[in-house]
Amino acid sequence: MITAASATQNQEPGAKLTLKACLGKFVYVRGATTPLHFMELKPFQVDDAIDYSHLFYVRALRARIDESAFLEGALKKWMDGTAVQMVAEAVVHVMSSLGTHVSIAEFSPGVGLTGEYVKLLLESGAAQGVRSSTVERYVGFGAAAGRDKFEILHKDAGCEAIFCDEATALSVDAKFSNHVMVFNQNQGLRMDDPGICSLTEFLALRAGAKVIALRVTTGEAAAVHTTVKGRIVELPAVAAVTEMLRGTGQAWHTRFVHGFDEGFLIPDGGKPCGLLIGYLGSTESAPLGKFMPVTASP
Amino acid sequence: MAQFTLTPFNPCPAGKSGIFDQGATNSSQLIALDIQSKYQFVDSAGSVHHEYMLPNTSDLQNCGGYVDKVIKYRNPALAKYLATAGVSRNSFDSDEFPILGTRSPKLDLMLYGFIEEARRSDPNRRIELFDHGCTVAEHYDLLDIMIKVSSDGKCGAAEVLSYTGMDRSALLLSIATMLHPNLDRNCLRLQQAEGSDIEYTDGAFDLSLTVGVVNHVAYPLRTLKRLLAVSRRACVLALWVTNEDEGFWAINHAGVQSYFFSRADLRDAIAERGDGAFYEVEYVPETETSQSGSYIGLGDQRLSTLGCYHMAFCAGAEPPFDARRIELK
Repeated sequence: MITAASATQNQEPGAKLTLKACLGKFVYVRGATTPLHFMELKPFQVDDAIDYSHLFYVRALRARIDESAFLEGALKKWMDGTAVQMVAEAVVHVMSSLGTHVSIAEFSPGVGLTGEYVKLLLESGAAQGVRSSTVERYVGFGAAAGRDKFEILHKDAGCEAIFCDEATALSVDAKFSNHVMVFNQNQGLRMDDPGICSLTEFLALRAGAKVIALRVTTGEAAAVHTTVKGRIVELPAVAAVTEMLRGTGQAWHTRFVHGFDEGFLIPDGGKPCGLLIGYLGSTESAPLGKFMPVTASP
Repeated sequence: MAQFTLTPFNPCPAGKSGIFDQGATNSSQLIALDIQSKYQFVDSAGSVHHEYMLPNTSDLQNCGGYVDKVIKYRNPALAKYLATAGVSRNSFDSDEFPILGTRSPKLDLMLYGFIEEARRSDPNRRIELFDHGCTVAEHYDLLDIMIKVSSDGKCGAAEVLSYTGMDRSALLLSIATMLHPNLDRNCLRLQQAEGSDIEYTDGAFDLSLTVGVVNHVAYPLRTLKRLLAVSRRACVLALWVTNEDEGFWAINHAGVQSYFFSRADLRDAIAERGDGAFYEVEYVPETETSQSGSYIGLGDQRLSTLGCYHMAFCAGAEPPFDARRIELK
């Protein structure tokens, strides 16, 4: 990653700067810094491609198809950017308290990487103590544009898959009693899905268990940033989110990943950002590695 | 903290001439290339403010487009639309489903014409189809929909086709398998091979399809001849050509050599086959393609000599759709 601070030096807070932006393939004569050629890439050749490949990589592992075709260094690195492994491990960790047939309901699910990875963890026995659980239903909540991707890619994938774009469905919270609910703001940011409920609304939902994955700022207050896709987003302060979780009076555990996929936000002179993952569920097992109870002092 | 307004730009617009205008195989111009896929942001002083690197694997980028096609094809609304509007050039050119107006579905529509022709001749015979560069077998999906729509749901590709797909990418073939999990493997066969290695016997298939893959295999002309040889009735092609006397090697955006066929090459292929002719449905000049900048180091003048035929080779009778015979003399 190359970053130059020149554009943001000596700027007033909140100043609006214009940058020229492009997305594509740059071809250089080896050693040169000026491109010889440029070809624009379309979004489906970037974000969707990464997520589709990631989804089918996980499915190949599940089906015990030779996954070596997927194992390129570049793909592995970009899989990490989705944070799916960390989110799925948290989901599986809290499933054990919900019985043997558990549903997952995810806000901003994208192509549904979380559900696929959870199934892999359960089927492979990698998740100790919850191997007997199965995913009965996978519900995605998001912008209507994501419906076809989610439902078509998860048809015949081992459980019922439903996509909802109506926030009104949230009022029927009784039906979420055997659900692990996931608030995946990170995936929403990656895929330009603004989400259909706020974190406050999510925390108020009654559910069997919950997992959150949020990009946050380390600053004292929420901060506005610009993503590489040009979307202006406001990231909450990690301290404020932690305080919200503490305010629920429930036993949340969190983990903060410093510098997570930081190049996704255009450098603007602000405080560093990172990823906050949290889970809530009555589990008798020890906390997941690197997670801390929110009641503890930082 | 600053906020940003982003304005699009092309960091390397094409000029009138390019360094590979005389062809990519000229030894005096062989140079090492580095290719990066990324977002780039440049400030008002022209300095790079930020770059965000992306995976640079062509297979991975292609995966996005091909899986996206499958998702669009499997949208139930598309089948409903075709059931109402009919499977025809008009329904494909409508704005209702823009995906149908793109190159790949147009070629599938040509292929479907040959399939219907064969079914009229013998409704009970399974049609052997060879998909050269099949990627995730997305052509199978659209053919399935067209067959189902035209038969009022009585049959689909699984009942009508014996499909053989060939691709060099293990990644795309793995995904093809997972996208079609319930199909009888005798009816949908997938083979991993470089595109020049067509080892089937002459006349092994009724029909074949290649969407530009024959342009960037190791031995393009030999492969074109093999495609015609293995096809009993027809071969449907998107074929990139030059209007100059000799074929032309370029380098595409992935750093892969790509060959533009000349009319002499097409004449040679027909002569070796010994019968049949090429028929053109559409010609798209390279300067008008939706994916500009596909080739490295070509200037406007060279690009103006290049283009893509949507065409079919037919043995025997003319194709069962509107097409113009390509005169090669």
